[in-house]
Amino acid sequence: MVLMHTNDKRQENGGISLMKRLFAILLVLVLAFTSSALVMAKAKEGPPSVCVVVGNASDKSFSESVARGAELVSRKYGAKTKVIEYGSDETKVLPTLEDLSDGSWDIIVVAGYNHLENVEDVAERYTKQNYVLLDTQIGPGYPNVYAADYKGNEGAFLSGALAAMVTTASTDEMPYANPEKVVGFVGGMDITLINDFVLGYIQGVQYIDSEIKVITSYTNSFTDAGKGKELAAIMYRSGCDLVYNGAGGAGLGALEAGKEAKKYSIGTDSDQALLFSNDPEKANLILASQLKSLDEHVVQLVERIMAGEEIFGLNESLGVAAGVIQLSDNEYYNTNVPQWMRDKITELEELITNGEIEVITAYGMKDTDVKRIIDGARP
Amino acid sequence: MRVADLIFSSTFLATIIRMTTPIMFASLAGVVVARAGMMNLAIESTMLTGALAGVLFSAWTQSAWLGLLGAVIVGILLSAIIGYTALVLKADMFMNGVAFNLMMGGGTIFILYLVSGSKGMSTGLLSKVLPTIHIPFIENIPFLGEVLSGHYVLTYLAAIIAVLIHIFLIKTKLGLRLRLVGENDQAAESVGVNSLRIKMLAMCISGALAALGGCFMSMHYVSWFQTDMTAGRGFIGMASAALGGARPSGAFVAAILFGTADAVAITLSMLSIPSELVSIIPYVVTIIGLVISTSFMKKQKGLLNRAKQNIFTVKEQKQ
Repeated sequence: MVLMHTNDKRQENGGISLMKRLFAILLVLVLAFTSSALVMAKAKEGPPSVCVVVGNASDKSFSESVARGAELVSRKYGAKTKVIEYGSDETKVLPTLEDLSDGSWDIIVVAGYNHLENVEDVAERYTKQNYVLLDTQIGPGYPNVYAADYKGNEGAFLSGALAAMVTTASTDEMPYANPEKVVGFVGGMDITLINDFVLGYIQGVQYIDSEIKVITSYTNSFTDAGKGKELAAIMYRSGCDLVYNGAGGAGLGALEAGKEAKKYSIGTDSDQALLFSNDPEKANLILASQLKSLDEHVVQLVERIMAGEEIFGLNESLGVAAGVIQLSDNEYYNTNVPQWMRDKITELEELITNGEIEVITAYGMKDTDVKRIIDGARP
Repeated sequence: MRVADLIFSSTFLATIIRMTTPIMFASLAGVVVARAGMMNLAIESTMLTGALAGVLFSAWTQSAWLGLLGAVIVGILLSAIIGYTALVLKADMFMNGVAFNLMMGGGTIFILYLVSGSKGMSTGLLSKVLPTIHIPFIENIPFLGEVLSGHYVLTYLAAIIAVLIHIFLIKTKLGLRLRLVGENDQAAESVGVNSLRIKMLAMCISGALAALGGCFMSMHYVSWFQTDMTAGRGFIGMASAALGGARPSGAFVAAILFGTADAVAITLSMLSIPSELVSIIPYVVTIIGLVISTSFMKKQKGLLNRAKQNIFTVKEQKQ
């Protein structure tokens, strides 16, 4: 189905490129007679056309957020946009990018750190085409690529601070909080991407109260919800009153454990409370979700281009300061988390923004040091 | 946090029981087809499809039990299709199983997308979950109650079905014929047993069991369907059927062994032991278990091996 889908799109593209070629010949003829055409091309106004290449545009997470960004751009500014899904076969990405680069898109957005090489490849060959690469940075020498990665550790810091305030709260404020100063983290895999979250989380927890302990564990799978649930269930039984998950689909199992244990959860990537809005008992226990608002980022990029800013050739690292990393601000957060905690989170956001708090990162840190911090936080 | 506190507790035993249940269903599904002289590689995808069918039917009928029934029917249909293509149309059974695993891996996402508009999970659907059972009297016994009571209804069903399959295979006339077909289907044909019908029956039973295992994942463990949520449990079940020497009792013990290995692995992962070491525990247990069981079964001439040999000799004769 996905294959057919993309083929369809490609054929369409082929059609476009043929049309485009005919159009180009016409344009050259016009150019030969008038010099004003050059001025016309430079003074091109209006929003840029945006084509987004993602794996699965309804994954309730990363890719969906990027695809929604394209939708927002088209709704807000009437820009021509298109979302192309390559499914799970990453070998399709390069030919898709080649086809698109032959086309007439102003910007091609590629989401996912795993496509760095593909983008490097096409960017060298199609120097006139502009690319946006999200979730990783690119080396120097690519003047037609804008790349950005996200400081997930800063969001994890905020989650950790919230977790710490909840676990130390009295039962009057947080009815399911227990006296033990322990919180948990269910991660997807023991890799730097996830450990970057763990370190931020531990730092956030111990920023509020250095005595609070953090149990960290990994599902070794991003789809096994059953395993995520069992891991979280053990944490809740070991004295945790809040478990924060960063394990994709496996992490959702942790929310189920939270509901059964009647204890709190914090989610990642998508607004997990809204995912379960038809199950209020569970949704009310999901105090917040750490969001990576890629949709917001895509809109910001288009706005910057429209304002005439030259963004291509830049590498950026975006976090709380840019408003891309944040905690979900929904009805569950506003009703279930007391005002003073929410104020504290806002205050911490400001401290991170103006650089007074520097959140540690697992990137570039030695593996043994990462382990030392994680093990040091265990009860 | 001490290891002893985590391992020597009633909740740890309860964790083992929960983690064993889906493996148990897959394992029994593997036993029935192995006894009929076949191998159903598609148990994993049948579980996954059953998990989706349970969610869809329960959301549609607003009844968990009708959802379960729908899933079982889908499981039977799926296995019947594999049985028909393999046994009647003479397509290769292994290729069939592989094809079904690949097809339903993407097919479940496709169906989910058609129904709910999402390719990741089914939370938009108001699906139902099956109840948990608290056994009176036993529930109040201090340690035993926490271990044995308060489990999901499918967990108790798995134990009951294990016993029923044992009785079916060993004590009933149909079970005897099924084993006869598995041992040597030409000999069975010569005494008037319709081996095709028996083999189709075995496939259907295995499909129903696998679908129950899938429903455990989507209607008990969590309350939604999610892409690839069975995460290889069907294959582990097949390994456990082989480990148990294709006997219900052996498969029962083997499934518990795998469940225990999983439970130990997740419990130890709470401690500061390298996660790489912890994650290999289930696989190490598999290898050790296979070594022990094969050396044990040498004396008794492994049934499964003989069944496999039979398949090959029959194929050679046909050629």
